[in-house]
Amino acid sequence: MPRIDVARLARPAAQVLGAAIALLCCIAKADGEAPSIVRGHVDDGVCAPPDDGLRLAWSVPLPTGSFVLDAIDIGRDGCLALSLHGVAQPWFLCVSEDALPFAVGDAIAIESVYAAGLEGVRLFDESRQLVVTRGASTPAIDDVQWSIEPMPACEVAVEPTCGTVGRAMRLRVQSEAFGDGVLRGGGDPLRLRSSDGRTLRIESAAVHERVAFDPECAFGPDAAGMDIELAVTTEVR
Amino acid sequence: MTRTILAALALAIGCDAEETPPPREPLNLAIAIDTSGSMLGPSIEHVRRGLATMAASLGPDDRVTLVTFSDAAHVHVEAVAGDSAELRAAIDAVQATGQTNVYAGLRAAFEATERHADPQRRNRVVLLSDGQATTGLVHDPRLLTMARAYGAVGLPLHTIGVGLEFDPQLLRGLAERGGGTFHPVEDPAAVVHAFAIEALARAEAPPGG
Repeated sequence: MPRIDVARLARPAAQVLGAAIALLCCIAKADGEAPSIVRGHVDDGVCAPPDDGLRLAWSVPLPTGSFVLDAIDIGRDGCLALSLHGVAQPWFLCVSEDALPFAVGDAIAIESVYAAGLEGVRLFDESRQLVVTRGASTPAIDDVQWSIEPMPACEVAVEPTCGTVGRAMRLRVQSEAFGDGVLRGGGDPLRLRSSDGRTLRIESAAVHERVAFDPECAFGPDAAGMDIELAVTTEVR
Repeated sequence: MTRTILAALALAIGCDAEETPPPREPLNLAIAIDTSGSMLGPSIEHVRRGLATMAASLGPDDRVTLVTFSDAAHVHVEAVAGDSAELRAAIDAVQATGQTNVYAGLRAAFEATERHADPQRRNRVVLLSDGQATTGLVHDPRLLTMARAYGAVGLPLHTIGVGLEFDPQLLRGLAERGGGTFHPVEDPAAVVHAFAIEALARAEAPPGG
């Protein structure tokens, strides 16, 4: 009996659904005007959906505990290979080199991060930390308040590969010590500095709201809603 | 069956496996072999025979790196001569166990190839897997990004998918992004010859690329 690939059947259905939802969004937005297909700005870097090939990622199983960093190698794909003393194999972490506040010889701790709607990893010592998370929400960082808002001029659009319907959002960061700033998924990192010499650096691979998607095809959280990936670095410099 | 597959593979890479090959440029070749538990039994034996068949076609000017990956990556030999006893011993030592850490194996193979990259040689990586990435960095698009990044600097990736359970989308995508070829091999016995075809293929990449 021939096998039926449910995932392949579901993908066109999701694309049709996506187009339909985009059309409905368009009609609602037009508010009485003649409807036209909303194409958004999928080719525009500012409004583009997350690049799955550049999402934040780390290898499993996660080596949790305290380690000395024996070596840091950067692959051509941008992923870091951290050689941890006493661990036979390197641990891979796909964030930019600038996000890592540690150097060879540093003693660091590594732990998992789990919270409502997100998972992640935390690397830290007494004065520095890197928190990398992915999911539907933002991580808890001391003295940092997050708010999510639509990217101006970015409309609901259908991503062509998987038919994901969504729109680009941006994160507003507010902090008493560091001040305020805004960043978008896939954009330049946000750097803020406190008056006492600490730095806050935030990079994001995704800040996107998904209205409809095919879980068999699209990457990101398992449910519709926010798709957020962040690497947050705090350190004293 | 095997001959049919071999003929298809030869056609796919633009050469005739039945012809006597002309002299070729020396190789800088890294082979990344999936040695996860699913390869236990006849499959891993076919792989060892395939590697030995390939090695018999190599010479003292060829440089070969052999990487296996299961729970982690293991570099058995790095840039040893193609006709060396070290390579033969490494091939004999290949065993299957554990999960499938494609990222670690592929990255180790790419890095070794880049360390020994030589414009006078054919620099290339061959990946063989019978499954899907199950441990390590399992985000497939990141694997594709890696293949594209190394392919862009002249280190093409050729992939061989063995059996019926491998991830064709991933292996095809890796080869496409990496500027190489993808060869599905349904019959594990055909692996015996697939390595030699892939390692010695001269159809697409000029020396140094």
